[in-house]
Amino acid sequence: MKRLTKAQLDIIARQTLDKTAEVGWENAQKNLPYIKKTILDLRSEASKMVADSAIIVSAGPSLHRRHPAPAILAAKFKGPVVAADGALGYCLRNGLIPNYVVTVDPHPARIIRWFGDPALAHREADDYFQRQDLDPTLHKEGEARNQELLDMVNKHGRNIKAIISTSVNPEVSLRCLEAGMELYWWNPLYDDYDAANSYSRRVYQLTKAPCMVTGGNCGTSAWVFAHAVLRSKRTALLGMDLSYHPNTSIQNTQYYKEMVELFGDRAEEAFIRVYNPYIKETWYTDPTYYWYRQSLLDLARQADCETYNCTEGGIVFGKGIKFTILKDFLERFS
Amino acid sequence: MAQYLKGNYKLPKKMKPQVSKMKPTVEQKFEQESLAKLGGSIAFIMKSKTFLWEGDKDEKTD
Repeated sequence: MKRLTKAQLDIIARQTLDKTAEVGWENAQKNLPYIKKTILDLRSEASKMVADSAIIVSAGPSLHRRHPAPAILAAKFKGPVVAADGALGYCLRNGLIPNYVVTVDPHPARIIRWFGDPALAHREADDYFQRQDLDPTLHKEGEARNQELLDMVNKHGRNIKAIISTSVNPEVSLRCLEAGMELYWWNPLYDDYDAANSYSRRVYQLTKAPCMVTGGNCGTSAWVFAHAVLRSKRTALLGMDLSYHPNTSIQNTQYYKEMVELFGDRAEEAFIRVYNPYIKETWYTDPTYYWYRQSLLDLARQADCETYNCTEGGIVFGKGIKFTILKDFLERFS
Repeated sequence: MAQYLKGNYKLPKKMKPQVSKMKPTVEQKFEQESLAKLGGSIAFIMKSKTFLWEGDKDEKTD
């Protein structure tokens, strides 16, 4: 497929609103008893700390291929480390305890897996984690790996602040509380807050938590958090591929089932190939991940912070993004 | 009174409202409907470079 037009990207944006706003609104009502602090409380705390540089750890395939945790630890990086929920397991397994973990997706059963799911044995069968290259350690021995994650999150939870969206399933909220995390709440900016019946305005009035731009996914929300709340002047992105490695089979992509349902045996044609001149590789992506990519590029252009993409893979490059290697970033800014 | 409000000139030719002749092809329509099924993790919109919306000034709580 060719790169998507603005009109096509708008279709995906509208669909995402339809898919997530109502369930997010319902979850916000259920989460209300747990909402004590918001990310604005953190902003006043953060203003007292030096946070010139931050690192965002996302869960794209490069995270496991490049394995950046040892380099960050060796550099004694002093700035905040912000993990997307999908990258929490990688960080903890490798001794990198993030200061913050961001979670936003309202999915009823999948997101809790990133924190260790106490009810995994009772869930309906779901090959979401086994099929993809998000976290290869979840491919095998699912229950044993889940227990390992439960234990690690319980051990380190007290040292991690959850940047938790009101849209998440309340089971995720309870899991974070059980692990001893402090919860700092926010709402996704779902839609135009000046529009009639705006979800953003309704959820703001319900929870009194600020609405934060998401970019459509958790990793980009983490980047926005570092920029808008921690006021980080420069931010490094890790694992932010928003695409699939050239060697990844399309069967192992996130939207494979939907793509086959929609395009049948022509599903492969619906993927978008993007040549990355920095790594001289052609990665491929699906329409949704391409939307994420364009959204992040738009946001990076508008932000008054510097964004360094140290993923060393993927397709996030363009105006507003400095594509570099992690080693250079750490040498300059640790 | 109405007699003074009547037009006192004739248009050179009747204007027809313009209707786009660009109808989507079957393939484009299929593509649009397909894209509508591939939603992301969470809704996203950006308004006026506002990364964080804290309510209107008169409804802020803190």
